[in-house]
Amino acid sequence: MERFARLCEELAEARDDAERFARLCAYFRGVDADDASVAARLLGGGRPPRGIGRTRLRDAALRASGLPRWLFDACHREAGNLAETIALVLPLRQPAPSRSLASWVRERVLPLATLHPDEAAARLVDDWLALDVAARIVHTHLAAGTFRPPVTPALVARALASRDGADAVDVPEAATRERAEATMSRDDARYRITAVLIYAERATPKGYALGKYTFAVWDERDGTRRLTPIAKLDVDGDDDRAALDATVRSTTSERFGPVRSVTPTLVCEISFDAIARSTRRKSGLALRGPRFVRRLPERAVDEAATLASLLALLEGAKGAI
Amino acid sequence: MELIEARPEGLYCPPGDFHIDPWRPVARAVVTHAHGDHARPGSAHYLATREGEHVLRARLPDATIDTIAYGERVVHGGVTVSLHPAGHVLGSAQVRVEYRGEVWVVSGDYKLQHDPTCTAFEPLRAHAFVTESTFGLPIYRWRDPSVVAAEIAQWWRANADAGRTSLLFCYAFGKAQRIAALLANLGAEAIGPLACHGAMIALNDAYRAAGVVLPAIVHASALDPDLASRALVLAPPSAAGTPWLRRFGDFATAFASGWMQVRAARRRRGVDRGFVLSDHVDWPGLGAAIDASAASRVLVTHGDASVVVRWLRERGLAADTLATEFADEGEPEA
Repeated sequence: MERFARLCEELAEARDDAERFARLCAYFRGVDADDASVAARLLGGGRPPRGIGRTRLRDAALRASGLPRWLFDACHREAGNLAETIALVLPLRQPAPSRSLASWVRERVLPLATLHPDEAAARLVDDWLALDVAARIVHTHLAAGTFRPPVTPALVARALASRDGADAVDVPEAATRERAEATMSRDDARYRITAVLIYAERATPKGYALGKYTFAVWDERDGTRRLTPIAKLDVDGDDDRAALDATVRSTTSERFGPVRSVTPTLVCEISFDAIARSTRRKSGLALRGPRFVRRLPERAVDEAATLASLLALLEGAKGAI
Repeated sequence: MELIEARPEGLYCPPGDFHIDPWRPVARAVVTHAHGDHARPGSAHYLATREGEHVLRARLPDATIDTIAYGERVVHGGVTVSLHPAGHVLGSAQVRVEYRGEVWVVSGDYKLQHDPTCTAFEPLRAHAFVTESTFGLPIYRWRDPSVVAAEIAQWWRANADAGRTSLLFCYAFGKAQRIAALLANLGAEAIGPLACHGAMIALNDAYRAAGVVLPAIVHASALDPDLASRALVLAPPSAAGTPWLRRFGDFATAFASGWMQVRAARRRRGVDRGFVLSDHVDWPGLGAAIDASAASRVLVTHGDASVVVRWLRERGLAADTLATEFADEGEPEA
């Protein structure tokens, strides 16, 4: 379990896909088929059934930390992330034998969903005390059903395939898709949504390389369903840009000067710091600090987020941001 | 009348008629350590530790400085003043002030953790304890510095083997020298050369002049080009994202600071790795130092002061904030 948590941390901190691939390969080569299968399933987006709710998580951690509520909240404000706050305020890890990922998930994660909430909370505290900081964070996300893979399913599949000569590994099927609404969980103090690529623009007037990419969400305001742009971004990673450019070239439907309009086929995940109303934009919204996170090539275009869910974020966030 | 009070120029002892770490020029300044927000130029006369004399003279070359050894007592206006190890950086001191039987201790910046480059924190009993609170939240809990140093070495080795220079950002005074010493203690110089940004050279020299054992650290521009990709280069945070970095081909970056405890802070820095190593006291250390002082009054300066004050009051201690102009964002640049 600690090893898997370290892998997740390394994947999140890796500079590019090449490094992520190398880390994944090293991990898969170093674990047995059971763990490789479970890890692949989790990294591919297959989450255990939703378990403990956020409030219950926080209350269990609050009691176990021994801190007064106001101090716990001060820590939460500083860390900006509940799972990380919990990991950092609980007493230091007690010595415990290290467990394989597979046995951990089967014995400590899956049962949580079946227990009475109070019992699940008590179990959770025992779990936390047996883990180090990184593993606590992963475990909290698994327990809450909010684990978000720090890597694309395609990369996981490629890395898994490199585990040749080893015993057969159960390759995960495509994870069940949730409605990809704008998420309410402010992990890492940034919001995330899924959006559809609709335009790409040349980086410089004379150059050939593409620079800015425009993403859209489903707008159902007047009874019809159409894609409305909500953000125009740079994309930093070479691998991401290469993949986006390939998609753009093969799906371009029209050109207006430096701008290419594409047939909507590609869903991506983007993150942003905050959201505000805008009278200048077609969508009526402006995202603050939008950034490209990753491509979701297996996500159906129909399942990208809706404008309604963004508006709900705006309403929910009033006074909070 | 308080034995030590906050004045516009800084912390002041009325019967002794001197200031401690004043932020405006005064007649008599007792300096806890040579960081820029504690040792400011312009005062007529400074009193500091002998251990910190070299670094202080490097920072305040035109100043009139008297130094005393740790524990040595000076009497001025009926007030007995002595300086005691704080464990923050080379020469750092707590200021013990005694007047008519009443004892106050001003901690300055301090830490309880082990540091091979300076004398360890000495717990002192006092009626009133004036403490910093840079990392005054329970989430700030440090691990064994040797363990963190081993992680730095591991990162260095992985980069060296991949042909990437390791760029480690850290504060030029104290942190850089501590990291160099910790890495040397691990034998990490076997990985490759240790180098530093020009801003650190004078401080490294001052440490060596004071008798601190540091490994060989070359100026970054003097690195053998064939070995540069195996080097660990220490640089101040201000060098991040500047053209100075262009001289290194492929490199990986990291930042060593207590603030790296939190992921969001690591991301804001935009470095590849964060190493949680601090020269300030952590939450458990703060509690231990306050307990050890047996003080019935605690005054809290810069950092999460209001959090610490509330925590102490709920524990039955008379606690208050003391307004100062010490760097509130944590450690100063150099």
